[in-house]
Amino acid sequence: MNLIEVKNLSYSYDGKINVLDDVSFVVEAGKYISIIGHNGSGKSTIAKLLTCLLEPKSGSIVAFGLKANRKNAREIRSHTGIVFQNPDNQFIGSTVRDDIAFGLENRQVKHEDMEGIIQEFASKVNMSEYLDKEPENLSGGQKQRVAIAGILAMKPDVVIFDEATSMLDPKGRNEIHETIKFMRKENPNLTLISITHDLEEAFASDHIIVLNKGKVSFEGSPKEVLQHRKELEEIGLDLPFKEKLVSLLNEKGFSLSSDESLERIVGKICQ
Amino acid sequence: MSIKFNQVYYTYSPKTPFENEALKNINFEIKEGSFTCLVGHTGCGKSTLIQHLNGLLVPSSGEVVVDDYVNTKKNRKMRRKLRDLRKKVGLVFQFSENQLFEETVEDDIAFGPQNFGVKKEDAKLIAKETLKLVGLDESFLKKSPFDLSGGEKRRVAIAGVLALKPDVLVLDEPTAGLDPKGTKELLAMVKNLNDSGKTIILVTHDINIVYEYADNVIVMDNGEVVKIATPSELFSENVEKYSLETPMIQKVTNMCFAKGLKLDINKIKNLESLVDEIAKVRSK
Amino acid sequence: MAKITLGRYVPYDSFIHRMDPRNKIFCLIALMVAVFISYSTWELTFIVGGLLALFVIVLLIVSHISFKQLFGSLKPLWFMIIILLVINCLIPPRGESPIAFSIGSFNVYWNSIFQSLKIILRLVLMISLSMILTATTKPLDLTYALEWYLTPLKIIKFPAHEVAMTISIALRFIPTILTEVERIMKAQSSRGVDFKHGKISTKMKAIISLIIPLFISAFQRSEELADAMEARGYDPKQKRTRYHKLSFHILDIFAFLLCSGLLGATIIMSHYDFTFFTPSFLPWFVVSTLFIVIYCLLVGIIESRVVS
Repeated sequence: MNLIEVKNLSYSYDGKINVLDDVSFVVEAGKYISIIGHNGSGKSTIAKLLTCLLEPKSGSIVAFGLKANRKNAREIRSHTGIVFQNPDNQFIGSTVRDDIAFGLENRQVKHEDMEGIIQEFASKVNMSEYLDKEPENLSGGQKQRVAIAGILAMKPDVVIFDEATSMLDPKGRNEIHETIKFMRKENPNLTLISITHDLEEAFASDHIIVLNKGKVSFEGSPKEVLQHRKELEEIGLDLPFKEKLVSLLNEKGFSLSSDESLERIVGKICQ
Repeated sequence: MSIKFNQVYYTYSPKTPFENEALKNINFEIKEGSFTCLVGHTGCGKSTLIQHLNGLLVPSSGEVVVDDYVNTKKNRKMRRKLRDLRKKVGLVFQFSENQLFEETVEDDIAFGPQNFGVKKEDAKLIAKETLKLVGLDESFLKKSPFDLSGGEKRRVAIAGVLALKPDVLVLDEPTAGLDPKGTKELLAMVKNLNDSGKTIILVTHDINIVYEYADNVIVMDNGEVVKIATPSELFSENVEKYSLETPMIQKVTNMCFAKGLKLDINKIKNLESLVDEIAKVRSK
Repeated sequence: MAKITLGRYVPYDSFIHRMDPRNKIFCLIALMVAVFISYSTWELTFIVGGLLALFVIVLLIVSHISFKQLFGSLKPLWFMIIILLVINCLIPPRGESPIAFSIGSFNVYWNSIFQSLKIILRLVLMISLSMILTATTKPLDLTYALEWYLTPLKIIKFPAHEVAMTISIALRFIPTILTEVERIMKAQSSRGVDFKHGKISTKMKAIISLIIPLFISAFQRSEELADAMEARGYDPKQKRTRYHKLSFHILDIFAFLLCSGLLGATIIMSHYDFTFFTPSFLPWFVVSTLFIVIYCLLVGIIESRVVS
């Protein structure tokens, strides 16, 4: 089932340069999709369009059977959660507790039910011990996890990560990767859209859409996308280490395959 | 122009409930012209440490010696000398694009030198030269810094510090938030500056940067320096105890060693040189 | 930042911490008014002042505010207090007054000394009271209370909820922005800016180099924050439920009555100097008390309808 259908979508902020140019793709329910591209490739604009923070100028987005526009914004947002890039600027409550409650208040969840929901979702992202902490006493990774909890508590069908790890240190990044893994395991029906410039991160997903200068360059499973090694490098995206190693070694006359584990590859080198 | 930390301690908000000892007994020396990486996880005291280098912070006890300037509690009143120090040690903060404020790139870069008494016209000349150093062409001079892309903004901000012609350039996480291409270009630029003689101190989380660029690594944990070594020395041991990862290149090198492939570790800096070395040893 | 002690919330579990913030604001105002009431004789002024001071000391102890902390926040005021004392002593008082002592040919009158003492007493009490409020109440709870007091103004389309939300977000971002100020100042200092010394023109430039980046980042922050809020379903026009419910307990009623009583008593004493109630004053007092009570009740009713 297609949860979201994007058709011939173009968008321009100033009416001159199209940051998105005739973009089409579909998002199937329960899949983990990555949209990758370098900074300025228009990928964050897609996130804003999908959450109705912007309205399509030409082309269309149909999400959950609704056309994305101002009128349907409320309904579409009730299905969609988004984690933004900057951990500080999406922390709205004065404590972890209040921040998770913020979305619930908007959803008019009953006061009596809130405490239980907050506890439940804080524990899902391992933040139960920090419920009364203020944002200035939390690390970037912890703040992002709180944002995730706040979003999951609203029971969305789709969660979008808009470069949610790019401002974090390696530890914070790992925390978010672990959280994503957990989310998928816990609720296989949850659809994830990750917008990133980290190919390594994108390779954990089911389907990758590569954006360049506002256009979809190519898309497919991680394996299929890897066929376009040269293009990926030209766009300025960093191939995962193993891929780079294998391709460089093959240039030197080895015949290795990146499907194998690193140990086996090294074993073959050393034979 | 050497840098020396002697038994440096630093405590935030001493004698309050918020007291926090951020640096404990820091001792090390950095040689002129070297490329030093400072690593450690968030909150280990890296940012506190680098602020001692240009006198933004004064040690609670101990001393930081930069050339002929001694940054110590006793010396804190020497304003004139402090200005000399600020000129010698350029400090580029994290997300440095946030410090841009002038109408044009030219004015923004020329701002620093003018604070040190350089005339406006001369400062503009310096701006022009410095812009080249960070890999941007002259067409940027008259642009507004706020119309640039993230990577370009950061270069302009670095140029704003370089315009003071410092001997030492300290960069705090200069690649944070940049995409892989931007990161590579920025590091190449820093490497160039290092080759032209500037001492570089780079704070980073990215062990691959450390592996590829650093002459020396200072590892910090919980306010203390726990290890000073060259990258190959550092990563040849198990670095997990410093809560660092082992770079993939080192992992492959280690695996090769284990399988009996004798690689010359000193020749390996990045993936390309690793592959070259493997090909060379294998062809023998 | 750690230096700011005045107005900082100090977490602790005390009776005053648990009090309803709405009630706390009411009691604070009542006590402040009580402190500022004048009496016709000095004896009465200092007896009542002393009693109120005693009461405030008890409150300070109950709410676990150390006197060290209190004196810390009074520190910036010492200078003002001394100046006040000197000036007051220099100006001869109106009316007759015995001379306390003389310096050369200059006379210092008892009235002047009493006057200064009165001002100091009021100042210290006022600061202590506001400190009790801010130290025992989370800033967010204060905004909730403020919103509650502003609810009746919704009738004239005053955006009470928006105002309260804005204040609470401002409070949330104060530490973030202070860190940012510090970082930009350090970054500019590294470029040779001297924020402390120099001519006015260079100082102006220094301030510009701080203010502009600060504004730019604040605008960006607010944009991103607005996006985040909207994406999480926030709509100021829409009904929202409340995670924090303010609740009025038995102890609150007791505090309410105590503080209103204290205020009433001081007013009466001031007006009549211990002479007896006269019919002309009593209605005024009763009406004003009734008004406050009815107002609070009304707001409570409106509020419960708006929120539920």
